Amino acid sequence: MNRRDFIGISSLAPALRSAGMQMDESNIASAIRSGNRVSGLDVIDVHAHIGDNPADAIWPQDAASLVADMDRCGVATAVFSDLGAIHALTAPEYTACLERSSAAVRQHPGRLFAYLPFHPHQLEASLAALKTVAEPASPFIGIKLHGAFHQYPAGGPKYVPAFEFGNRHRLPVLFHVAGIEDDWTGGVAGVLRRYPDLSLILAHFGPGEDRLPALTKSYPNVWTDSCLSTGGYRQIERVVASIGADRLLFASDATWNSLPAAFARIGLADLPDSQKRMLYGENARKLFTRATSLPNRK
Amino acid sequence: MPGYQLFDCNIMIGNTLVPQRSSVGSADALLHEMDRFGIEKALLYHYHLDRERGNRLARDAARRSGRLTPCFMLENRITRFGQDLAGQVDRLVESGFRAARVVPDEGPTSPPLTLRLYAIRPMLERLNQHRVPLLIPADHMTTAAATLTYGFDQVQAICEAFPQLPVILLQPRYSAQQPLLSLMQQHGNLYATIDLLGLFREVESLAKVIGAERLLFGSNLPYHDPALGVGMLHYGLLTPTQKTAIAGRNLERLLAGVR
Repeated sequence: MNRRDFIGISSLAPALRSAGMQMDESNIASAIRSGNRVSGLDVIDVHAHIGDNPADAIWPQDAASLVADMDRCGVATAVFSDLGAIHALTAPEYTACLERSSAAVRQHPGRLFAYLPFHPHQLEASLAALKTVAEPASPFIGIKLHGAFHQYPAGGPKYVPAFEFGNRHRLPVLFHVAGIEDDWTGGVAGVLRRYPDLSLILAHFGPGEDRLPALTKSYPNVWTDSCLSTGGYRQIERVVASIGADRLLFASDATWNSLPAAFARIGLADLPDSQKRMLYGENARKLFTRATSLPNRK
Repeated sequence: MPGYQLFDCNIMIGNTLVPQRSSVGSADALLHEMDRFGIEKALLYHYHLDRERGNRLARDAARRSGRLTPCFMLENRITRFGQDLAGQVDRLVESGFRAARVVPDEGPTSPPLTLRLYAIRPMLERLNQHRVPLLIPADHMTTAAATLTYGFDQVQAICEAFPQLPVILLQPRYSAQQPLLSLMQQHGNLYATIDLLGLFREVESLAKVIGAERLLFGSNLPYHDPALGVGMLHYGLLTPTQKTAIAGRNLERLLAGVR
């Protein structure tokens, strides 16, 4: 399944609704309190991972385990990046992990899509891989930047090719910002200003719930995601109130973090089901559909 | 699939000196939130700088509903002439409390909470004698704060010295997986809440290695989102028996063991 197919699925939610499968306004929380699958709910996890640990590890990270948890929660689709590529110390390691990403997408068509992890300390290999993202059969539908692991600032020159490519192709760029140098005082805003056509997803509530509204009010091309290793009481509600339900995306960080915990946070939030549906999947469908300039989207 | 009867072992009502962003001010407000998350019962404490007053408020709150059980805030340092830290344990049992916890003090003049055996041994002996579950916040234990306050070493010492005392670590974080596994393998009286064990399948792995009977649901409301633990239980890769145990049966068993 390629990017075109991903966009094609965007018609799923309206189709479900027209087939009478629309949720009643109070049904999502009720289903989750009962431990039931929420039928008819379009759920896209925009921040997932696979990695080196096998299925029988204390901390598994394989693609099949991710999909099994998606099935239990009722998550239709996840967009992942390979932790091994993010952690790669050499170009061959990096490239091998991209192969693993491709294999995972092939093995789980329609369920898994990949981000290309752009690694500023493996720059040549990253640049070579970036070129392939525009190819029709590419498994990569966005770019992942992990400034925190790489200790690399948003305004650093090695990130420029990734942002330029993302801007040219209107791609989603999932960015775990390091918070170093001037990241939150100007670096991220500079990226948003210079590259207005890329869709920047700031991972883990970005600069935090207090500083997010200044970014979302100033820049229409920025979103944030909901995954954390923990989670504050009523945090989802506060963020929706401050930046709007259209700027927050459901994310789990699985197989790093728990998918069930992240899934329930949205479903049990004190919000109307119409907004939960936006967070769970509708916003992501729109965002990934923005990437219209890739060859296979003509 | 049916929902499980959730008994939350870690809820605070009232507010702290530096207010929480969102708080639960009363028993009625708590019951409303419990309904929203599908939590059937709660073991709660009422925060107050004055422990005695806080314990009174917790007991008053619990009287509002059979779904609420008060948890005793322990004085763990001597502040008055003739104060008997061990004696408070007898009093808490006599007045109907079935669990006790330590709570760090607030304010710039407050000393850090420590759990050194030489300072609190008589109190722990009495808790051990009554089998009163001792709840210990653990979310700082993988940070530098543990060196100033207490950490896994103190927990190890307590569990070793008092093997009949149920020790419940509240909200250990995901990065505590390795020390937690080691300690829980060595000490059968050590328990942990699941809610911040947020690595992928971390709860499932602990249940496999340690046993689900040593894990508890404890949301840490109003600090953390109860949905974390609710999701882990309802959608985790656990058997119905494991889910029932973690959701509430383990806590019921510990509270019933007080004598």
